[in-house]
Amino acid sequence: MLSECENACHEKMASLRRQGLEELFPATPRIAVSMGTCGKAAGAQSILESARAEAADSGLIIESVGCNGMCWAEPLMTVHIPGKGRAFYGPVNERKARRIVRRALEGDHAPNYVAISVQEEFPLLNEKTGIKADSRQTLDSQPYMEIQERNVLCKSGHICPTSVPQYCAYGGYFALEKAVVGKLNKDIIEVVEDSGLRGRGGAGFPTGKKWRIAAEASGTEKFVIANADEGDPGAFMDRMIMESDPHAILEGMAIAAYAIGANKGYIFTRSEYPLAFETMTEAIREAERHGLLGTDILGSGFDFDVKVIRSAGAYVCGEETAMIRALEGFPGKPTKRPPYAAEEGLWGKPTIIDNIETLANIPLVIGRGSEWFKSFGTPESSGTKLFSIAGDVSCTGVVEVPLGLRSDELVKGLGLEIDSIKAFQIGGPSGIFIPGDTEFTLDYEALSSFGGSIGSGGIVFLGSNDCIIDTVKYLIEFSERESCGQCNACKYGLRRCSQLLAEFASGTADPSVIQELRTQAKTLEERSFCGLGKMAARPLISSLRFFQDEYEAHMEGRCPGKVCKELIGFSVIAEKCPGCFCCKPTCPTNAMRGSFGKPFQIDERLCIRCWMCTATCPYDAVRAHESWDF
Amino acid sequence: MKPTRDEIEASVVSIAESLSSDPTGRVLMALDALQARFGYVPEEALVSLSGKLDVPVDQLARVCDFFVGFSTEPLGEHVIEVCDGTACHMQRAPEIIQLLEKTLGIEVGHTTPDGRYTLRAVRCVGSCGSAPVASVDGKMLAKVSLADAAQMTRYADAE
Repeated sequence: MLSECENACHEKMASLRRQGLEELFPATPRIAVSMGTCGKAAGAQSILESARAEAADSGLIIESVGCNGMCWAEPLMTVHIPGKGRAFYGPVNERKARRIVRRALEGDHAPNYVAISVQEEFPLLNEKTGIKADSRQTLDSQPYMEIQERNVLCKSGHICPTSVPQYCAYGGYFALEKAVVGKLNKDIIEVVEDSGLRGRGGAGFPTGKKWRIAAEASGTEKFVIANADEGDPGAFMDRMIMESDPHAILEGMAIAAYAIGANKGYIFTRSEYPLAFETMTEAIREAERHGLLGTDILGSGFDFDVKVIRSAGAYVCGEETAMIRALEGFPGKPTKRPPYAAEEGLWGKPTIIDNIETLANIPLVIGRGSEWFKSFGTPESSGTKLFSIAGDVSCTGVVEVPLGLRSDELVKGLGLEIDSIKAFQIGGPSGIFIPGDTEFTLDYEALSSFGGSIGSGGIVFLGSNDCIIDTVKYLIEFSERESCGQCNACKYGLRRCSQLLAEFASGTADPSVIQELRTQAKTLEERSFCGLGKMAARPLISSLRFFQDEYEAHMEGRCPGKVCKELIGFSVIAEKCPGCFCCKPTCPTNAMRGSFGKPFQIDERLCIRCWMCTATCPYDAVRAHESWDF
Repeated sequence: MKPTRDEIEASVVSIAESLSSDPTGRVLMALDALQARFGYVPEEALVSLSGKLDVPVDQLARVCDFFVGFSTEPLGEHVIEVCDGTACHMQRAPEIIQLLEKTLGIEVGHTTPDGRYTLRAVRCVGSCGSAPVASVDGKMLAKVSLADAAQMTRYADAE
């Protein structure tokens, strides 16, 4: 009986996969336009429309897909030509898009692609999943691609995010089939434990261990929650996975649920991510339609329902006890641990809360086995990790690299020079600053030795025109605003810290302020109730440790990054200024003084340091100075 | 224009009906639906929602108060949002906000007296690759320059 069910199920999955492969690699060219949030912001909608208009009735397939991580190349078009591989173009404009379509109609790639992939990669597939395919992607040897191991990201930007067959073409839902129908040789949790997979949300807790606790906890009702409340400013990998590869998350959740004996799952996401919400909701509908979620999944008798719930802007809800309170219908304030959620979570029932990226790794771990997973990364930090790259860097976007990658390799891969980096800000408001010339590796251990953590994986690059004090102040003010206010250490400690930092920003601080900052940071770390408050001091502590010179400069009334408004000044370079009048009407305070044909001057008393004149001057004649008395 | 009492009552009924019986996340979903429907959560709605969900009204009010995404006042006709995530902050988001405050004559977080524009600073929208980012009535704009910001009200009117 079982084998009959197994066969039927296997046949069904195989046919889904065939359908998906036909859709992804048709006999005719297939063009995909990346329509993630970043793509849309860059104008992908009009690119999609022009491409469709150009293709008209030719039968050429033009699809809207998610993002492949190359935000720097948005709007991005991908062209697959049978036998000639897949080429990436970006940033494209409407004219280029039309030209790319015309070339595709002729059966060829247009020149000037930013990357090309000749072979396809299928990290989800191997003989274990019953399907053979294991070619790694070979791209034009670009440093940007060379540092990456795109396991989680392999499908992003290629498949239609909500399509079940296309996800299956890459080996999707085979891990679920293996888990619920095929019966693994080993226990699912054992495989996850053995893989060494650690939570990708920030804390780095071993995922398998968490599952084990929940599985062994007594009770008939259990829950799985996907933590998609990605609140760290500067981190966007969860948004990207939700928008580009939602089925990987659903498959991961279903496997987790099966492993611990849960029948209900929730995805807790943010109101700032409308597209991710829509995509996840649609993907759930599609998975249910194909019998991969809902009642009696794949005829195995296992039921699992998933719902997406949207938060409304509260950073603290990313903390799991706060999230549970919010889901139960209360203000999202953290509660005391233990008990941990795995024992007593939502409605007092055993609950596992896993980060989106962690869940997206589960199909890989189960599908390919723990040994394969461990072949990436370091012994303590196995697998790959997604990092979002932002700030003063040209290659912004999401990269997937093996844990343990050296910082200089990352910098090189992103096409940067070490000297141009003032600092790495890793892990958002609970993260740290590391000077650009310090060598470190990207893994859990190395970063904790700097007093920080990998966080959710947001890396913001600070260059010579950025200010450490201003950024620390920004992060502290962020935490202050997001503090739920129930413990005094966090509420008043953060308020005091931002007051003190404001003294530096205005140049009124003296050395005793540094001392007070250190004390405040220590108190915050020791006395705060939840992790949010404890970790909020990290940016402060690390900046005091590594960027003493910036604090000193501000005490002297200089802002080396030319950011702090109360310190900096502007002047017009008389030799460059032809007196063209461009700046005058755009200055909001009428501080530009001069007459036509003669160099202008800036009225210091009226200038509000809004930078408008620097933006409008066609001759680059306005210069910013690090101090007011330049 | 604030909605009438009847309109509010009718929406609460339809929202309550559309929710599943699963209690998890029901409060958030109901408030989210109200916010989406009216652009704010009317006080009157909380009272009738309390009966429909069987949740004390003070709890609903506290939740509403806790989450910044639920506003208790109607928003302007056009909502201009500027992202203030780390990447945007470093790339002149504060100056963009300052400029818009000057142009609109209001402080960030407020609505112009004529009810035309609401200016808000929002938390990271996760589009850091295109920083600085702003949105006008939900439409995202990438790599906003100070010159773009100066034109933003005109852009909002044209939409």
